[in-house]
Amino acid sequence: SGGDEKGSGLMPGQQGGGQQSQQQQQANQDLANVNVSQFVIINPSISILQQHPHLVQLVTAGINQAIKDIIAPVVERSVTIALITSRELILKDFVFEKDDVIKAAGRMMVQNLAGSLALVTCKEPLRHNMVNQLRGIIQKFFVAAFANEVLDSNALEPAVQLIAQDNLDLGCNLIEKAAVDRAARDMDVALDLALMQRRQPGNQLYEIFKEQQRFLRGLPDALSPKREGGLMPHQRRVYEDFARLLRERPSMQAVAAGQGQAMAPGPGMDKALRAFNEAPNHMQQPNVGPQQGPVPQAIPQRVDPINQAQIQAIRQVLEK
Amino acid sequence: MQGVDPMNGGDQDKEKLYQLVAELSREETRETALLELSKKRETFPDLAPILWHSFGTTATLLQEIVCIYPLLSPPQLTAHASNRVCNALALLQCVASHQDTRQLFLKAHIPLFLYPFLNTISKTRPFEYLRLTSLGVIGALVKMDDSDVINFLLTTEIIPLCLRIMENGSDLSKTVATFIVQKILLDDTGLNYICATAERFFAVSNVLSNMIQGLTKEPSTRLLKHIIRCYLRLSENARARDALRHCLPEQLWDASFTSCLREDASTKRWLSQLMFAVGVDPSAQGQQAQ
Repeated sequence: SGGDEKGSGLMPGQQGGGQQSQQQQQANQDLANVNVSQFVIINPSISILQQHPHLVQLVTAGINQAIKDIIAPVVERSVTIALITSRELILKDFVFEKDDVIKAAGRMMVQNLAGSLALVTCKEPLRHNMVNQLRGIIQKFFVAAFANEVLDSNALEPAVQLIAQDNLDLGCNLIEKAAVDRAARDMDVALDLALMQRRQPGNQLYEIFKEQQRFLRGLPDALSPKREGGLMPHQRRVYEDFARLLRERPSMQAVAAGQGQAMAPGPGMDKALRAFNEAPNHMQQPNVGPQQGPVPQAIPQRVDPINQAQIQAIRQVLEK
Repeated sequence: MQGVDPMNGGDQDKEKLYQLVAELSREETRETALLELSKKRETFPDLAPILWHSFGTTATLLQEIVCIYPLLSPPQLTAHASNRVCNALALLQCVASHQDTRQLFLKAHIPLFLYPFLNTISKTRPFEYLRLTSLGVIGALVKMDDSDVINFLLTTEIIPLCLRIMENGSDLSKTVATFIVQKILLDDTGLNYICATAERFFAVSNVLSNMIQGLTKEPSTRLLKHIIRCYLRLSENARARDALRHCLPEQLWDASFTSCLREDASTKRWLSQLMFAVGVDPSAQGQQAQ
């Protein structure tokens, strides 16, 4: 159907007012100015480019353009969603903690969620956009340079696919990194505001806070959010894992290897992890840091390709 | 919002439940706990608020979801990984269904983390199962007839995602996706949204029409029921009703589905209401067909 793309520009939290802050506009402008030309990979064996070396520069610009086209909307959507989700879950889990611990946990979570969403959202559109850009550029070049020579489409398509494939990770890594950086910055602002509102009687967040505390009295101690400094090591790990899992991602390795220089540096997740770990915590056992916890054991898992209980539950959704 | 009711279930059940939820937060015990809890969720009426309010549980379930993203493209999802994340999704389905947690679940925008799963196209079983389970969570949300749910979903890409699954999904996925669109249509805001532009209306009606063509080859009474209900609801909008006069598939009034509908009085009634609304006289059409 022709409606597949419909509505894809509508993001939760973006309708009201529709006005972007100056800061957001500036941030989007920065993204639109990204230049990754120096990192673009061109396979030397591509025959069209061997025969027409002038094309290399145009193709490089095309890759750059394809990334620029989608980076701002993808980053904006991913960060918007990640901020809302992280804010709600952090406020819920860290009811009694000190603000700097809350903000450190918030940064770890939001960076992971924003990066994850950005990567999964951008990959296919980016590949599609790259292929279209490159095809257009090469066809146009041939029309202009050799009006009478027909471009061999058997040579064009594999070349276009190969160049796009070779540069897909570059684009994805940059978009993911941009989302991670933006998310960390915006989360601090969002949490400052929310934590302030949570202390103001009459504010909606204050009421939710009180309501939540009433509910928590019914939960056993082992499952409850803890008094200040009372998180147990395995509970801290839930949030530390957001930072650890992000750090292990290829994009972050690429950033470490220098590709990330193309992006403006953002507040690092290491800082957040340090702030989280250095907060006073009387439950933390000495010598058990976040990276030194018990090694996860492989759990023998009965592979059950169709979970009948789940299928049953879905069928129940359909029942009256 | 209410506190945990200690009278629900025996103390022993409750202790077991607390223990399993606690095991979710430890990586070493998480996978087994996911499986156990998703199997036993029916026996714990208070599971949803406990999952939501306990420390780190929702964050953990979300971590299980985003960890799978890198396996979506190129498609690398194994049956094992699919099972594990589907167990996490099953727990989120509890949270989505429960009166006391549904609003919180929406407010945190968690359904949006399922959309990358709905957006996959691989036809292998792990992916089919992942899409179906994700649809189940959204289905559980819309089932509650809560206009907040519909208003939330309308700000997202759920309609194009459902339409694509309605065209290409497995039989059960198609049915759940159609059910979601039906529930959106049954809400006044949803009906107005879909009928607001010709592009939206035809995106939906084309897919419904294609599904009707498909059903003539592979009949499914349940899917037919949801499609007819969607059409009937569309016919309540004046502009859509006019458009339907020209684009209702003729299989709806020739004999294609007679045997399919024999046992289903309510769907048969909806179909004649639809025919009446758009001004098709089934008896006259039937004679023409002969």
